[in-house]
Amino acid sequence: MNELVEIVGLTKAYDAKHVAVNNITLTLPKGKIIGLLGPNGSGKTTLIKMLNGLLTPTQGSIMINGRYVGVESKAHVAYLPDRTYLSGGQKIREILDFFVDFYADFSRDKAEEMLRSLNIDPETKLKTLSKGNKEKVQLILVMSRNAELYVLDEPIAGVDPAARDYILRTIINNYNPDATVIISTHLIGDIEQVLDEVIFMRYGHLVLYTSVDNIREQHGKSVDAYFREVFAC
Amino acid sequence: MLGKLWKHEWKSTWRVCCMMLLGLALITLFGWISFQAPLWQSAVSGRSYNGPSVWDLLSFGTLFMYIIMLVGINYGVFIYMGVRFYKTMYTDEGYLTHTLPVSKHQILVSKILNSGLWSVLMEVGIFLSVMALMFSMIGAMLPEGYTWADVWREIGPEMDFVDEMFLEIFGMRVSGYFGRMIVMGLISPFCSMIILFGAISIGQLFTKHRVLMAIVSYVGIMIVTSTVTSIVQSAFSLGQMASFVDDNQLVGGYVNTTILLSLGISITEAVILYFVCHYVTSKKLNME
Repeated sequence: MNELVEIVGLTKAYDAKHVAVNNITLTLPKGKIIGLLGPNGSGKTTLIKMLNGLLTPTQGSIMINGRYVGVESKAHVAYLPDRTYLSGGQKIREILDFFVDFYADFSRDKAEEMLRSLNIDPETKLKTLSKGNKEKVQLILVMSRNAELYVLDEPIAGVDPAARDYILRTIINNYNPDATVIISTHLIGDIEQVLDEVIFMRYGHLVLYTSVDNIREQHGKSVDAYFREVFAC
Repeated sequence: MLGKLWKHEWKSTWRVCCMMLLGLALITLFGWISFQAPLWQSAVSGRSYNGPSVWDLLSFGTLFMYIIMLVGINYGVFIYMGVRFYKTMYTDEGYLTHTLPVSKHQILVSKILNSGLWSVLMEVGIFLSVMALMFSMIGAMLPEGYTWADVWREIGPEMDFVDEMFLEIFGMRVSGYFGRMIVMGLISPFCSMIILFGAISIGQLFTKHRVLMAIVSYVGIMIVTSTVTSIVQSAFSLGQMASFVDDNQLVGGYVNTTILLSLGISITEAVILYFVCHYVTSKKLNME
């Protein structure tokens, strides 16, 4: 059994006119870094939210390592949303306490080590940090878990190139090698070198699911160049 | 996990709630001092009074502020807990809440226990504050040479009469009546919080203007509650008018019915709205 995520006939319709994800069937293996790529409004974030139980599918099902999305699956999925989901008034130490209490796979030592490397004092309140450092703290929390699936929604959007490098380095150096990492982004050129596979989405449909090597061999192009060709306006 | 959720709820809310209790203690102290004004001391005791002084005006102002702040604190904890529920369940912070490996029941129960308990503590604080001010006022109005020992000596023998009166009117002794009020005081805040959380959750069923729809839902629930209470109460009262023989029993029966009916309706609403909250968070969750 190498399958980690099994998505069958997944649909999310907000109303009759707005179908954000349309009948997607997909099986993702263990141990891969997968880019979830598509233009704005293609349904990437909606799919990610359903993987994390933040949206209820209209139809279809998702299983993560044999479990439907729920309490059990959430214990094994590390999710980085595209926004700050922590309370600004909390100190980082308090947030670490919180993660220690709720996630059995969370390593406080690892998180504190990463914070030290960024010179971030755990006694600092989150709201006093810069936007880039807030995002790094959230990433550190997520990557300090020994999860089966990491779901990272736009982890490098809105940060400077140096911070992007730090974020990508942190992902590569800290994820559990048996786990799968799903990274949603538009900034394909920046993450292409770390991807094993890619999923292309458009208007809620699955356009393509293949390996990066396959794109390079079959089309003789980088993922970024091939993406631009597929999604050319 | 429920214990851990509650612990973190408590850690996130105790500062604001303790500030409210501290504010209550401060305004009670000012209220207590304001009753030492000459105006109050001369009101009943027959002590000489030379017209309103700055001290008297300050006393009035302080008491006016006391009432405003008491109402503010009473509703303050309710609004604070409602806003916190909305923020941690249905805004960005909800992304963390709903991805925790805990059940929706555990999330809801931890929030209800925490907010209900703070409401009860606030109620106790307000009760003690009002009692403190009442004693301050009575103390200020005691005639010269009259002490608290004299007051208790006079009230003591009357307690048996009051006890009998309660038994006749309400069908229970003073201790039983106040025991019932305490039980109600413990249950009602939890029901009120669940009803508030339910209204906020109903607001989430709409695609737009979710906060506005939560407020509309809350107002709607309150209107339905009053209507149902009035109808049921009228039916009970008509029945009681036919069966009770004297006016005291009629008044007591009316009060008893009102109290028990309000509690019964609150509990029923709270149970229904708890399941509404659970349904919305587990089946209809749509984080924007």
